[in-house]
Amino acid sequence: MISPELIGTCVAAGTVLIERSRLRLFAAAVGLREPVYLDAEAARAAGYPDLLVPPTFCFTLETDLPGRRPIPQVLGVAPERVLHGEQEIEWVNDAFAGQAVTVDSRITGIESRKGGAIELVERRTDVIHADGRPVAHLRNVVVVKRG
Amino acid sequence: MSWWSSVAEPDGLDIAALSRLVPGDSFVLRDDEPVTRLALALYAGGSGDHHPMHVDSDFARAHGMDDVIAHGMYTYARMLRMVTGRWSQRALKRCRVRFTSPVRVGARLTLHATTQSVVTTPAEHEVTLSVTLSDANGATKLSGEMVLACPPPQFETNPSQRKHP
Repeated sequence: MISPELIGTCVAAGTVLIERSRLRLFAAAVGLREPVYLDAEAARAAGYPDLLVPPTFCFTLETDLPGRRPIPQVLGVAPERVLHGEQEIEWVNDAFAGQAVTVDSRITGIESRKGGAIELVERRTDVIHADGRPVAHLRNVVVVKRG
Repeated sequence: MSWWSSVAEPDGLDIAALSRLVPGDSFVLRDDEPVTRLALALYAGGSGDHHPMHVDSDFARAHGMDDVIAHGMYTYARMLRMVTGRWSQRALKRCRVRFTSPVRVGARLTLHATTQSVVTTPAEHEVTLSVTLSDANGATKLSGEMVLACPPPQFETNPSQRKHP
């Protein structure tokens, strides 16, 4: 049983600089071939200040934050009990290489299902530009199997 | 190979086609390359998710799997790439999915989308789709809902769809 007191716990928070080389590696991995994701010159020719950040890159930003704790560790459960259940993104404003964005990720819900056989843990993450405009709002649900 | 070959079916699904979708309309987008070990290794580095279940076959076998499986977020990114490759990421507003079953090395992914609703305002045309991603055997890998937006249909070319305020 995961303690409901964990609702509100911060999983990761801080500012991340978006790096060109990391964006290129990410784009190559997921098969993004449009030049705006790979070539800064092409991105500028398309009217962008630098390489365009693909929306799904936002899910990776928190892994670079110092002090970030993996979800099983925050919940105090063995990693093999945790499955990825749901994922949601609301995309609001584009972001670009060279920008620093703030990331704030918190546990927002814990729910028992199937007579306690599984628990659903919801986490929400906001990615925000330096001027306060949102980049994206993310929502993640993990399924924790009874140990 | 050009980048848009991944989403070349059916022809003519351009931004104007997005604005013409009506509830019940369906379309299919096929990924043009299978999931590979190399891609999963690159994704581990690019995403910072170094869980061994996605890159280390020995670890996967020791934990009851036949082989490594794709990161859930890798699969999600491949799905969104099919959509943004077709309409650019300017079209994306929201996407929410549930992960249904693991994606294995060699999987060829197909996105099935059905239009649920459309809302037109003077500023934009918003299309809500129900989506499922399946492999070549028809097994569902993830399912959910996606909301795309594009400029509203032109009054001159499509007066019947004009919404009066």
